[in-house]
Amino acid sequence: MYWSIHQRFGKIMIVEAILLALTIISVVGLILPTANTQASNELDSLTVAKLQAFTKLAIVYSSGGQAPALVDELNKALNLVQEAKIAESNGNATEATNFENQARSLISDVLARAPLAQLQAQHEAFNRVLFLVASIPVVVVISTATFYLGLRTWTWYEKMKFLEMKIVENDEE
Amino acid sequence: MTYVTLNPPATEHFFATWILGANGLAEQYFPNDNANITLGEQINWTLGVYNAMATLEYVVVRVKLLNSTIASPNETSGNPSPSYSIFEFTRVLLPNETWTFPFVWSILNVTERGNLTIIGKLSINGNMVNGTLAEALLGIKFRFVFELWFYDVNMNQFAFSWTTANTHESAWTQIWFNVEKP
Repeated sequence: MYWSIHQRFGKIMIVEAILLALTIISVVGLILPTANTQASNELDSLTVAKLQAFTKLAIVYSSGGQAPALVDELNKALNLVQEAKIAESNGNATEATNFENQARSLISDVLARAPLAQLQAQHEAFNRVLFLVASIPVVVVISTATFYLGLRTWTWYEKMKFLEMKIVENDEE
Repeated sequence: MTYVTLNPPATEHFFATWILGANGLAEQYFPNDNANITLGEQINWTLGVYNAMATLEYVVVRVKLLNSTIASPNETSGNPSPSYSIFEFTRVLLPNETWTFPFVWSILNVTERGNLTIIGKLSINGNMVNGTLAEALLGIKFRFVFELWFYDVNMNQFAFSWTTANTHESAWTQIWFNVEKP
């Protein structure tokens, strides 16, 4: 059986429409989960970043340094991440993204400034060791001098006592 | 002097956590000291955490809503309660820092199935928490458990317990309450 040109054209149009509909469905199907995955991926990457920032600050403190301003900044970022999670669970994606961006900016700043704080902490730790090592000879000199002077004083005291005894003896005679 | 400087006396490292009532003292945890909570009744607590670990610590207070049959955190084994957390508070604590924060909550939805009372919706610090949060027979013996977790930099994960003198230590606290039938 042969189809006319109109029939053939109509068939092609139907096939094209079906293909187009399938394409739209698959694209929409891909986009929606991607949006959700993207939001959770954003939070996941924030989680990794905030832990990295904390690890860097922990190193500063464990080497004897301090960085309270950076800790404060990280705490602000943690609050913003919490706010973002709450906004996301309430379905407020725009607000969540806004909070995430603010948190990301703060964490980036902490990550950028942490190496300098680490360097300062190392420098301070080195200075402390240097002071400790330098203080050893000073302590030895002071201790020796104290011992020597103490000994001399004691000897002088004994001599004086002996002399006093001799004077008393002479007086009695 | 050098020896004393290089060998400081051993100090115990620990976390401490506590709950205070509405007036900031260890009393009046419930309005009129009545632990039978009604729907919508607002309860004001203050949670506290003290970091005596001598290092910077990233801590998470995990809030769990349990009944009397779900296991509590085990202090001997150092294991947390098997229940999931319904809310979390996070903060980086400086050495020797004390952190206090409000925990204001109310029950917004309760359903009943036979003899079981099921808490379905809570408000915590103005945030809504939904789901089958906890269930208890006749609404008796619900409890909030607050577990303190900290980030272990070496293990690269959050931990609930730490080891001091070969014993497991953990920081958690709880308060019991009943839910009155709506």
